[in-house]
Amino acid sequence: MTNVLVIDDDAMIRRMAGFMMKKLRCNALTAASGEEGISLLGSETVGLIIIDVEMPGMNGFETLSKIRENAAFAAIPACMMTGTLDDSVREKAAQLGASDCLEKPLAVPEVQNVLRRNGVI
Amino acid sequence: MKGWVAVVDDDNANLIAADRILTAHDYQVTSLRSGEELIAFLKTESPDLILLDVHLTGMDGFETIRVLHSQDPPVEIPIVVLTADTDADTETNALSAGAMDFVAKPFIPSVLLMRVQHTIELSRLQRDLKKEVRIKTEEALKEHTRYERLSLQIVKTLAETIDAKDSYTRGHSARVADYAKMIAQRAGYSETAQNEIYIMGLLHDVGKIGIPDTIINKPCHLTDDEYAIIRSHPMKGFEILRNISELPKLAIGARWHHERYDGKGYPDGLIGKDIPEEARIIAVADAYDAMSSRRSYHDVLTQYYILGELETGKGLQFDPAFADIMIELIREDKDFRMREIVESSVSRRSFAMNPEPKTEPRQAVSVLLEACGFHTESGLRYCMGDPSFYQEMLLEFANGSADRIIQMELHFADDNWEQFRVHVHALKSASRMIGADTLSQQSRALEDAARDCDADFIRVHFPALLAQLRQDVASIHTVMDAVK
Repeated sequence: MTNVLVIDDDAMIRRMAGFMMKKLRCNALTAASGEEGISLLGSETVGLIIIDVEMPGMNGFETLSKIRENAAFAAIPACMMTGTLDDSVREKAAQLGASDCLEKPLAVPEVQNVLRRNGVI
Repeated sequence: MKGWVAVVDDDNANLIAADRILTAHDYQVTSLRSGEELIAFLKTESPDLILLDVHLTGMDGFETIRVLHSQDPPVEIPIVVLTADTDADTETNALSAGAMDFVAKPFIPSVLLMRVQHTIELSRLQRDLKKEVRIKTEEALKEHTRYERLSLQIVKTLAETIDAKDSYTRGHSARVADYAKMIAQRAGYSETAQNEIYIMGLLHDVGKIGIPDTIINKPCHLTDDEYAIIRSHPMKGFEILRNISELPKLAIGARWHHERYDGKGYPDGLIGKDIPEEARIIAVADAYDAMSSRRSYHDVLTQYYILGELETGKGLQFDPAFADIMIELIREDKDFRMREIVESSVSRRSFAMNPEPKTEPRQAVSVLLEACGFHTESGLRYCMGDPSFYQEMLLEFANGSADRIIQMELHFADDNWEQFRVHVHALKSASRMIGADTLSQQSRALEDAARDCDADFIRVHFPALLAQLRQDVASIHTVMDAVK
């Protein structure tokens, strides 16, 4: 089972994502902040990173660019998620090399698509 | 043929004489023997002239004229009276009964001919003149309508120009005009007065022409100076419109539409009925459009919320009578753009993995939560139709709420709108996931307000959000305890 790293400050979203990943037959690793996510990347092999845009402290975009700074993580596919998905988010995500975007609350078909597109399932 | 003459006389000799004289001079003649016969004849025919004897057996001449003139529509064929009495009374009676002329019997052919000819010519002339007048009047009316339409088009274009200055207010002036007119109509205004207030509505913001676009479109905090400039638009509008002497009231709407019923408005701080009635109406229409239009955070405001604002604003911001009319109109919801909120995207999504929750037997938890105002169907969908996971998420939400409240209150107290926004944003998603739709909508409104740094809006509405959150959490605990 491939690991999917979900970075979100909201415990509900983390639980939701974990439950959803289990149903979609992959394994969710969750982190409550960008820093926590980055340190997890150091110890686990991850097939996809899903990052919340709106987080206190380091936000999702900052987290992703930090991740991209490390050559070892530069190629891991990433997906941004946000409650209000608009073109400006999509644009910024694309600039930072996130291939997908998800709108919260997460819905199974969309998550499934993202996982498929990135070869996770 | 010079014309068609109907001769009415009960004396054969007269009929024959008239017929001879007239036909010899190229007139067509119809001879009739009584008033009754004439009336019947005129039902289907219309000669150019009637020669009518006064002393008829049966209905006499005067009586016949009265009947003809009292018909609907009255007979307009000119009548010349024939009489052997040359006294002044008969002439007077004939003329006052509506005859155009009279001819003495026995006829002198040349006199009869001249009278007939003149009368027919005169009546044709009159008819042509009436027709001419009608045509000219129609033309003038058309021209008038054209100018009216043109003026209205100019005014509308001007209104659109004003609205174009503000990226959020497309069509605002036209809608305010429409709403104001509707209120005026309900309030019993005449059609003219309704149209007047419509134009006033169109131009109420004309003063914004004098406000720099950069200030109008500034998304966040305005400085005191900038705020003062914005607040100058009513006076600017008044100055612009006061010169339109044809519609002196135009300037009223511009100057006083930001007055408040409690006297706390601007520019003059007028109180209650001192504010001109039209301006009080436009103020309600203006506020309604601002709330219902898709202006930044306002796009999620529900009909319910707007009704609440109008209700609480009665006597403060609004004239209670006109606020009531607006409330009435909203309740009837005739073609208003405002609809019950943005349908949650939830309902459009379908889930392939699990059967529709609807088809499963309803859980006690769902029934109870539904009673507490939760939209459990959407909550269950987000939880992939799994009731036990839904319960887990509900508890997670309830347990995390204390921390959410602390975070929001902290940033609220610091006026740190960026961080405040992040937390209400999270609350929006979380509450939507469990089907706490009211809370989610409130969060969204506050999130948008925080993005716009609209501290006033947040200060007013944050307490309601906290109350709703606490209530929802209490509901979750109660329901979970009940089903344990």
